Amino acid sequence: MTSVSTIGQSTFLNSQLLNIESQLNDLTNQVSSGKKSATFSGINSVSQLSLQLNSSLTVTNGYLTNISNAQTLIAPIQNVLQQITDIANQLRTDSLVASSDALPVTQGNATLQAEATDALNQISSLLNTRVGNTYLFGGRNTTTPPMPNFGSAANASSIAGQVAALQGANPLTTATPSGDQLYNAIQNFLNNGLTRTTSTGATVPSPFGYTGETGEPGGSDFRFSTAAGAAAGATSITVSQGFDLPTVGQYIEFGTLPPTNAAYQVTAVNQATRTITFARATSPAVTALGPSTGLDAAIPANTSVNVTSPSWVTTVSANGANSADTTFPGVTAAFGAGVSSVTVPKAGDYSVGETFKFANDAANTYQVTGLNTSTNTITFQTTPGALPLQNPVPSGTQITPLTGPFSGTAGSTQMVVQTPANYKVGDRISLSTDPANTFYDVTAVNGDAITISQVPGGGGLVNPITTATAITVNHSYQAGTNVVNVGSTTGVTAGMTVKFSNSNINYTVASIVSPTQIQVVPLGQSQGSGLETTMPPSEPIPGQQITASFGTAIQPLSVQIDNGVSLQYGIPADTHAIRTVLGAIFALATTNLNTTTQGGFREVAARAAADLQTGSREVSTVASTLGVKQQTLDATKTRLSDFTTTLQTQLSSLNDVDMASAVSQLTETQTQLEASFKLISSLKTMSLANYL
Amino acid sequence: MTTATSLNGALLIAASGLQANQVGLDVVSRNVANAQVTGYTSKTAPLESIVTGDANAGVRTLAITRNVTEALLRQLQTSNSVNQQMSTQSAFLQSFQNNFGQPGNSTNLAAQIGNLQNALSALTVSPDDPTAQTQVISTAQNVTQQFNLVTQNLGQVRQQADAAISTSVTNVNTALNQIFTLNNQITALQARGESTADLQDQRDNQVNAVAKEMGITTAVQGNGAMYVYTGNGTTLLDSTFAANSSPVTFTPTPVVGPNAAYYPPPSSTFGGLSGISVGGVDITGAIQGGNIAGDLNVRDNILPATQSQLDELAAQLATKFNTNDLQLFQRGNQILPSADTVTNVGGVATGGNSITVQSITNLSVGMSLHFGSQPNTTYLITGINTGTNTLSFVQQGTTTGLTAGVAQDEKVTFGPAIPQITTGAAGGALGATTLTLADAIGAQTGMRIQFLGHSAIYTITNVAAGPPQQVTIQPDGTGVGLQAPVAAGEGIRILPPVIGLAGYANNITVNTNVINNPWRVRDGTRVQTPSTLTGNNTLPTNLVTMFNALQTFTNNTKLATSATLVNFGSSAIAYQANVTATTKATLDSATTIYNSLNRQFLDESAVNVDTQLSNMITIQSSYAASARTITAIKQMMDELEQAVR
Repeated sequence: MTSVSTIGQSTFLNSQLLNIESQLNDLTNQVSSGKKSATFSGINSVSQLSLQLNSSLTVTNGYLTNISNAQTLIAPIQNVLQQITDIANQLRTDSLVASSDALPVTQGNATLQAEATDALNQISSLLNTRVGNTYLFGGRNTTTPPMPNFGSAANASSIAGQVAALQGANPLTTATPSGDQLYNAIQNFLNNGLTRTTSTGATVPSPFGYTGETGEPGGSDFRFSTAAGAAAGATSITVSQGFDLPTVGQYIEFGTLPPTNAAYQVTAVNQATRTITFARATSPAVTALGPSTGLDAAIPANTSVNVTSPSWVTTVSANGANSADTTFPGVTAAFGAGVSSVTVPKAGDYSVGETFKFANDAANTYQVTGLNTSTNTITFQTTPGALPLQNPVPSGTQITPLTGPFSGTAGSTQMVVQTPANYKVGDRISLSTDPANTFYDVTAVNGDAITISQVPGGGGLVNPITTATAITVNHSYQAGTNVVNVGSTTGVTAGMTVKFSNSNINYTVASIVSPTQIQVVPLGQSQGSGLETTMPPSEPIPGQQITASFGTAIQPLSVQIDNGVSLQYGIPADTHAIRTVLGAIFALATTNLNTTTQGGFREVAARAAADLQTGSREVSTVASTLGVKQQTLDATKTRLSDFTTTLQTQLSSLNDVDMASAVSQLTETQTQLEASFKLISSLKTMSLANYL
Repeated sequence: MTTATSLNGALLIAASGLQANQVGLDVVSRNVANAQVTGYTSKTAPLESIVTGDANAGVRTLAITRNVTEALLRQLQTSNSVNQQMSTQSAFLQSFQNNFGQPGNSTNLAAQIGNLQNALSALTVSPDDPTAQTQVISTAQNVTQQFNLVTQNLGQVRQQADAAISTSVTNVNTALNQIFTLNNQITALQARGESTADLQDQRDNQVNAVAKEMGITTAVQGNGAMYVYTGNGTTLLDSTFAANSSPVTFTPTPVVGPNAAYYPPPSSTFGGLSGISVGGVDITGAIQGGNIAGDLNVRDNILPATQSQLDELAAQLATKFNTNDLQLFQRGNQILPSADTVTNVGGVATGGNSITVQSITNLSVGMSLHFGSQPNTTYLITGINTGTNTLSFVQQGTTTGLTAGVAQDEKVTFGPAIPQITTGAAGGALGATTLTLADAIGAQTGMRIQFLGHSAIYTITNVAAGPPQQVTIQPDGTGVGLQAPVAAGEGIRILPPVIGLAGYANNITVNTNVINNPWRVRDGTRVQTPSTLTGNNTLPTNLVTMFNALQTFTNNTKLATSATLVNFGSSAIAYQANVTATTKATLDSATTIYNSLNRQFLDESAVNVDTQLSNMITIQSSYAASARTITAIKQMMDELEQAVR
């Protein structure tokens, strides 16, 4: 039999007792703290899981807070959009009344003008809404109010006053502008004519006086400014800050460089002297500009310099193939004397009552008595005399109209064309009778008569034109066009911003259609709308080419709502929808009957009503898109809340002790300990020494 | 038929019985008195019959012996070593566990990094809100404080382990001297044939004291002396042992910094933490079991692993922020240059070893650099041309340049210099390729050295047998041999065999430039003035994305190399938790084995009072019987006398 040593027994009992006491201690800690262990080693098998779940929980709770914060920002935006829609709808109703008002116009005009002026400034203050210190409608520029006070027509220095002055100054080519022309001029001024000041003191163009974020290459993100001025043609500048200068190969733009807002490529940077050497961005424009690779124009000191990496510049080419037109070719067959009708290429070019001569017969004048557009036959008789054809005409004999708007004399600003459908306002034409590089812009198309203006400088025809004069038409981009031809799309990606040198409006590249074509939408708009103003054809006047400058994509306001999920919610005040509404209201608020005819005002009112309808629909679309995002937020919030509940349950199962089992174990261990105590005390008496 | 014996003879026999019983009672009383003394073994006084001629002449007591199974005793000592090792290791690790807080709360490092991520996430909603910006900075400060605190505590625990080794070594030396003294006493007694049992008990106690500190083996010699060896056979005590000597040596380090490491031979001459030596031979690696093994494991393996994990995490955290244009963290008060870009037109091809950057402010030779396209390859700046802003560099650990080409405008981030150790060298002329080192620095082929005051980096390509050590060097540049003469005794920097980020976690702080300009958490540290785009959340969004993305970590941290920043932190904590729990489990089983062996040993060898008491009764009755025999003999003698009268 194994012997039992006295010290062995007591050591053993001691260690067993300590063991039970340690268990008891652990259980007491568990029951009092509710946790399985005070250290991660105590839950070793699940410690990593516990830590990871805990960090997931923290991050998810963060996202939930973000969503709540985003909701408090989006709700006011919705509210503002709704109010703008309401204002637009009310004004539209009133404009419709004014556009067909039988009352004395002064009465309706004054009321509507007052209402529109109020509406302008109401919308301006709505767009300056802020939550906390954050302006909601300035894009990512959240610390300055994005919209100015528009003032009123009576206040000449206010924006509304400047718009009203357009009528007095009459910047239009016609002496008495029509309502349409006035309306167009107002929109053009608001979109392109206003200037604003950046935080660095530079002046940059801004549609509607918007001071929020316009992004590259609009030029709101200036990094440094020139220390000294530089003359036109200069190839280097010195800047006032040496920090974060551009690197060789990047592009820079200057804050004030009309008319093309040209970009220059950096060729060298001297860090020590803060000198940047550059060359005019390599594009076809440079070649056309001649030998100079330097500045297009002089820049003053303190001009802001914007690094537009990866911006680059390319020229815009005409919209589609150029087409040729010829005035009135002759008869299509030979006709003998005595006939009273001939066939022509297009009978629609003629009208009954119009008089003409045949090129081979200067003596007789004929008048059109009838025409058949399906057979392209015109019926005529001499005037006076009412006789048939007096002399035979060979095939191809030219016909010279004598009546109507046509005038072929030098200095004339009107001419008749064979296919008027081929011409749009903004197209640029050249004539075979003129010296090279003489161009005219089409300023109006009225039936087969077009109004022209020589570019640059204005004025009519240089040389008289004949019926044989060939016309080359360079097509413009009409407002709404969304595909633009450019010199090259290398380096351009969808999402980049693009700005054309004839306008201050920023667009987004929606897609690359072909290596020389891009699809554009106004910044902040979705698919569907194209150019906001008509863009003249780029070529071919040297120095007058339209260039397209590309910049990095502009991110709207956004919020992280889940891992890798960012929700974009910001609506900049210069979005197309709001501009359309504001533009219409400006027209109503500034049109003055003293310089506008009653008919003209009604045209303006009709245009405004139409734009207000379009604009308020677009605003509603924007609002409903935002509504979808609100729903996304709600759904994400619900999902993440459920997720946190799951996480908490899991974490609790990892970290927290099962109270019932811990308490029962505690009781059990206590009993065990008590039993051990009894055992020890009974062992004390169990010694032979007690019995001797 | 036995030879008749006289009454006198019987009396003598009885007297011998009385004597033997007295000795027996003496042993019993000693056993009972020492029953509760640790290390005391039960003694027995064996009896032997005295035989004269062919007749029994009584009984006598032999030398007192102890009842010990030596094999069991040795096993117990080994088990004691293992138990002690695990016990000390577990105690240190348990105390270190407190640095990571309680499961479920958010005070631990991983949770703090998660809070930073959250603060950045909140900044995406309101990038213009100064409170949200400040929140990012304060959570970043919490992260750096947690890094600093944990690594400081880690250093303290390592220092405590280092100090504990010193105490243990003193204990070992003391015990060895005791054993030496006892050996001498035992051999003397044994030579005289006297009992050595009590001295053996004392000696075993001292052997246990040594075994508690480090695993040993012992061998008892024929003369009774005991020799002591380490687990791998290095002699601690034999016939050559000198009295009052300290055969085991160790030098404690007063402050154990994050870079402090023990370098095994031959690199131990680099300096660093002390190893354990016997007679000048480093036996650190051979120590198995005991407090010392536990302390060494804590000091040199377990905590440095966590240190490297924390350093790697701190460095990656700082680097990832840097590559996102926000230099949120810096190392100590060192002003790190912000990220720059490669300005070489067209970039630099594979193998290239110089780049031009925009600014060389704050750059110095020795600093590390990373390219945006090769985030996991470290290069070291070997030269700076201040006129052209050109940096020359080599890939860390090699003499070669770029492992892959870099593009123009590619981002370059700069890191701290690699910590280096200084030693001395003999001189060398320009172009020399062979140098004689002034002292045995443990040079090894492949080691990279740099002479103080010179920017060139050389690689040791050959080491001739020394001392003195003759090394062949090869410059990292294009030239052959020394690119500048070096003087005799000139200092050499040597890359130690640890990764270059050591101590990052200890020094990481939040960039004061960011603290003073909170808007930088939105706009980054590359711009000079706050952006007008106050609602621009691009940077915070990118940073949140960075936190959600898997990052690549170096593969020498014992953790997975691919993890998010937060999860790497979790893994580091879980790694420690696992080591601690495993140690605890090993300790529990080692303790069970030890207790069981101890019980077995004690039951076999220690005193059972009841047995002793029953022995006493036996001795008493035997004594009574002997006494009665004497009484009977006396009566017989008296009667004989009467009869004669």
